[in-house]
Amino acid sequence: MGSSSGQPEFDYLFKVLLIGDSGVGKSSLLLSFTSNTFDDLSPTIGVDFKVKYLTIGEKKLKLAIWDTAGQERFRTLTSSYYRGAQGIIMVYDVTRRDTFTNLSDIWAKEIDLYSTNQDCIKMLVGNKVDKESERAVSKKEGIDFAREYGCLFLECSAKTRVNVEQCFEELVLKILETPSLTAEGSSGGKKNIFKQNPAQTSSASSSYCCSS
Amino acid sequence: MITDADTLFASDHKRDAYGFSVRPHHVQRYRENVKIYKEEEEERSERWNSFLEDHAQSDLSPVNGSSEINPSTESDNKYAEEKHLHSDKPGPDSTQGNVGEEDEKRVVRFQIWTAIRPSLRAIEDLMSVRVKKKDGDGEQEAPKLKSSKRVNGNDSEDELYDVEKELELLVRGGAPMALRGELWQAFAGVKKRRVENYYQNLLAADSLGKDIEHADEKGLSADPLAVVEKWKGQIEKDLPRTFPGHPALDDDGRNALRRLLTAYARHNPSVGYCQAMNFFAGLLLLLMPEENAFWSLIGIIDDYFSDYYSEEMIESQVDQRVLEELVRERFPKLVQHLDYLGVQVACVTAPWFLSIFINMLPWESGQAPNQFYFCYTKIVIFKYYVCHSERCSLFISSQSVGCASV
Repeated sequence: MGSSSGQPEFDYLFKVLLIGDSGVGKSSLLLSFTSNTFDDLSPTIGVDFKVKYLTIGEKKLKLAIWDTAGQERFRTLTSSYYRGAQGIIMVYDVTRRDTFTNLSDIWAKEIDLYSTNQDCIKMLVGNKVDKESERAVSKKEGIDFAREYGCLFLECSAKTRVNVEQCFEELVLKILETPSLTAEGSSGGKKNIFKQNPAQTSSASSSYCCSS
Repeated sequence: MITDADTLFASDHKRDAYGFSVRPHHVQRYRENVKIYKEEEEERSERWNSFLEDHAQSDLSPVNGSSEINPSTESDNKYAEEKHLHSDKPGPDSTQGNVGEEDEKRVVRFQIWTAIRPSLRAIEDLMSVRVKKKDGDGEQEAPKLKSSKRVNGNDSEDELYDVEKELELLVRGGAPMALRGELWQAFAGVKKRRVENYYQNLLAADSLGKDIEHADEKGLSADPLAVVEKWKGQIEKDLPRTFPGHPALDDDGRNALRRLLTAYARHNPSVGYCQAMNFFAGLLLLLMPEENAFWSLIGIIDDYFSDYYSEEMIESQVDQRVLEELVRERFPKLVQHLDYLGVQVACVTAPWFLSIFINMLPWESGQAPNQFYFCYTKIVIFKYYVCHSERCSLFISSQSVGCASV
């Protein structure tokens, strides 16, 4: 999947974060997007991440997508992953109302607290629309929430893959339209990492991947 | 429990010796190596058996005499019988049940406890000295390991040291599957930890046990306790997500897992339930009877990983920082690469720490560090982490990818 070092393998590197309650399907959504598969997954412990290369228009993009654990106590651990993210996807389960109400009670607050990018693009995603008969949160509610919090919004199903790619693509398009975010994400591919001087030595501040 | 050596390595290679399906991208390698695994397993069995035989004659004097016949087969039979009974929802025939009218109605017997085989008692005694009895219930203070004369009255310290050395070597080589569950129990000092009826009483506190067993996946049962015990919903969510597809985790297996996790959460409310414990508990249930698994879980989480899984998860964070420092020192290139990617070392290592490699590595290698845990201290596991980092480092340098999930 990688190209030989020294070649710019992508024009932009974006960091995208998936958050939301336990069991809403964050990992499944990610797997569905990166591998076109749907599988029974184990709960995410701490954090996990996957990489996906996308080409949008002329631009080659590398997405580093961070998948966080939903259980409450992992928040101490996951809070540091908001830093430097250009996009944050809040996921809820359309069949479980509590996962939706927790978005305003918990997750939106987490973003305010920990996100370092003022212009970071937020996206609301209602997952599991394949279980239409069990739906507990209407699409309108999702739209209203998104309007209130200034997010993009989509409903999708990691299982049937409906709207899965759109989730990420819409997010990325919006990031590309935001100059402050592209400036930050642009330099990634142009460095040869193994010849690069260690720019950061402090472990605490090592989260920025491409600051320049 | 998986103990049948003949079926350990199924010929179709779809599942490994533990009953886990081999991931598609590992099948080829598994197939190539299965013969080696098998040979190694046989070698291990031989080594351990001869070790146990050597020490059986001199060291062992059965203590409670309750399980003189080979307890392994005994427990297997029992377990098999259990499973049989479960499958057609037996009535109130839980004869071993302790008191409490609710137990009458309880479908599943959770009172499954088996002492480990007599030949392992010497190891059990040796390891039990590490167990700190917190409630001081009259059991005599165990002697320090160095001056222990419990194994054999005539043992000199040197001899004891030799036994330990030998044991250490054996542990390094891994435990054979047939012995693994019992060895872990011996290492974790399960016998010494055990308090009669404690497990049962923890579960009996839940007077609505039956409802919970049929609670739906979303954990939204009408159980009033659910309000107090906020971990309950999380456990429900994770039951079907623990080793999904594993044949042992059918309905009965999941009920056992639920009881085990529930009992632990009540035993230690400051931890309650933390994701990742489901992996430990599930693994233990594959290797031993339910109550044995409970005491082993207590050994793991109360002692080895105290504060790893509490609300603040302090200790796991501390350990990760320590590892990060080590990795920084030993593998600057790796860290540089991670820095470049905007990846904190901790985010790669957090899952290692929290699930102690269960689910992280192919099972054959994932079990190795667990072995160490049971027998030794964190130092060893840190060495393992460092080695693992080294491999990642090599992998990353060779592929220049870095973001591959390790």
